[in-house]
Amino acid sequence: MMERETALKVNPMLVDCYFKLHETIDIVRQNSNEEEFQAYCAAVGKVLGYLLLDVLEPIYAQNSDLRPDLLK
Amino acid sequence: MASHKKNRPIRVDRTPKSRKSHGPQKSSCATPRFLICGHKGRRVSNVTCQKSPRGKKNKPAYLGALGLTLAAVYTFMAALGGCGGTTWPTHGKLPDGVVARLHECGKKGPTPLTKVNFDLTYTLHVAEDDREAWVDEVMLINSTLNIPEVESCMADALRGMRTPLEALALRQHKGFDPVPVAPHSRALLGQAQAIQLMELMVLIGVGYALYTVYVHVIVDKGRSKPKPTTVIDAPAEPVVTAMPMATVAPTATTVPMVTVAPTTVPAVEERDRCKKAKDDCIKYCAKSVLEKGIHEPEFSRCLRACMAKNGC
Repeated sequence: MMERETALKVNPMLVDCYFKLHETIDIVRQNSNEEEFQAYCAAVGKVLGYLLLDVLEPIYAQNSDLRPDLLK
Repeated sequence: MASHKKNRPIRVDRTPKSRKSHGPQKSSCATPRFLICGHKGRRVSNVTCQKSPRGKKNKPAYLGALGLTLAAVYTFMAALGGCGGTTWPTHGKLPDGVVARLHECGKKGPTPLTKVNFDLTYTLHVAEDDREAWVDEVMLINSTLNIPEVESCMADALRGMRTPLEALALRQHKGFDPVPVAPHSRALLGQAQAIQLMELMVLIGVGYALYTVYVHVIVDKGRSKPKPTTVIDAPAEPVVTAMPMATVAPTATTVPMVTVAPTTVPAVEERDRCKKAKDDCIKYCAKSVLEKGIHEPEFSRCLRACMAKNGC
């Protein structure tokens, strides 16, 4: 189990990374064809999914107050 | 209903719902409600009858025949699953019968020694035919309880509500402007045109445990499923969750479900099953949420709901 002090340090960085990845989807959508976009969504979806389920959720399970509103 | 009063003159009070409220637990059906009233306004049904507005003497023979006819129509409608005996949220509240069942479900939960709150969010999908609408699917979207027995019990309690289509249309027109449905909810059931009818909240207190149950009622145009035969106030019968089970790769219309774990599954197998479920859920949510240009909080909600459905 991660120490709360550590969670406080890494959480903002992880959340920032998570939402920046989300933003890339819109950029790719505007600049790619449908096939490329779908492939990109599948790939980024994996990163986002694992980042959320394997990294962020365990942190929030122990520190529910750290969960940002957009992930509630 | 009034058979034991058949020797008395009867009068028929034909009062549309819009003019007379029968309380939140009664049907919100827009179809006129027919009340069989006893002599001199004696209370026969559960609503007090009033004197004839004309102040004239009743005509027992004529009105008796009319009353019987209307009673027959009422019975026929009830037999069709129509206005009679319907249960449906009214005035922003769930029917008392449903609330009572939710309370019973809460009793199956924990018995904390200090005050504890649990939040549960369900989505009720409404199907409709040319005559009435009914809840054909109940999904748990979010829960801080994490006790499947209670969660599924509450889902069953919410299942089975129905209402005449006329009343549903009226409700949509009057107070519930169609709003886009949360993508994670729509995604779980495919891409049918979906609009949200209403959001409800009910508080269930059991000892120190306080359950806050949020209910989103959604209608899916273009979806039709066989009408359920279960009635909400009927004795509780275990209802199998309608969510399709699939071991194949997920599609855009089916929540991926990895084979249900038996009760004694070794930890390694359980871990593998959840790993497979996680991969399937990520693919599913990426396709049904991210590809639609929808981001947070829908993507994370979709993932959590999908994993919860798989028991992971």
